[in-house]
Amino acid sequence: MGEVELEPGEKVTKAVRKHWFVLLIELLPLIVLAWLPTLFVPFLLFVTKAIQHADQVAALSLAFSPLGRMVYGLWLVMLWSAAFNTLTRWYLNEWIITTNRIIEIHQYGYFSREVSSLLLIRIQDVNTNVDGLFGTLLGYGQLEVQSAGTEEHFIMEDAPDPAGLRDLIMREITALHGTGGAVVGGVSVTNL
Amino acid sequence: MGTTTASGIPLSTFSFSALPIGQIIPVFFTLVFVVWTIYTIVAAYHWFRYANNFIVAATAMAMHLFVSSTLALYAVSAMN
Repeated sequence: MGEVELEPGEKVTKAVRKHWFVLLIELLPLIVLAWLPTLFVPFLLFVTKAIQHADQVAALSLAFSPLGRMVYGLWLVMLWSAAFNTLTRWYLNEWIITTNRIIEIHQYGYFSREVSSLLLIRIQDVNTNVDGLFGTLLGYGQLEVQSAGTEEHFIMEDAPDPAGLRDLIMREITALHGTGGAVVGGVSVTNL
Repeated sequence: MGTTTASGIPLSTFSFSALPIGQIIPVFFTLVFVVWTIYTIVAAYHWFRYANNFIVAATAMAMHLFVSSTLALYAVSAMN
């Protein structure tokens, strides 16, 4: 699995990313910024009308000139790069639930990445919190996994179907207890 | 008295053709291309290194190259 090596007998149950709607919301300002320059021509017409003696033809020729097109094209390239950056961060941030543990991967930005693991046998509590109109309608929310004994906890914001994920984690924990513990590095670890 | 720009040039006679566009544009395009190339290499590294799925990474990078080049061609096409 690349940077995360699975233990012998360990299998990936599910890989989860933030809900697609959250990605869409993050892309929305960029879509608006791409559309904004189309208001430039009406704005120029308004300004040139308001200013006496101003040359409307000269002002409009600037907007439709090769230079105007070039600037707009480069503006779109820049916005696309920002959108692709958002998509990359969205895709590379994930939770991987295996038969033994939860692997949390945080891609804060380029060259800034954090990978943490939490053994399922150490999990004490799994909480879900669905909040807001879109979260309720589209079924995404917060999933918090609290480990036993320590103050360590994993939080996934905007997880799709948090209740389903909670049930999946609880099922995996039950299965693990049924088999007598997790296999870590080929050694069985039991919940003492 | 007609409206003038801050530098005192009458707005009606102000012309962008007075700017040395022919010299500025190639330098500007080169700078943008260099920044875009570095960004694309960094993004490609992260996709292929961390996505754990070659097909997804290749599709994402192909999409990035296609959209970027289409937009860049749109910008450059104005310079005929």
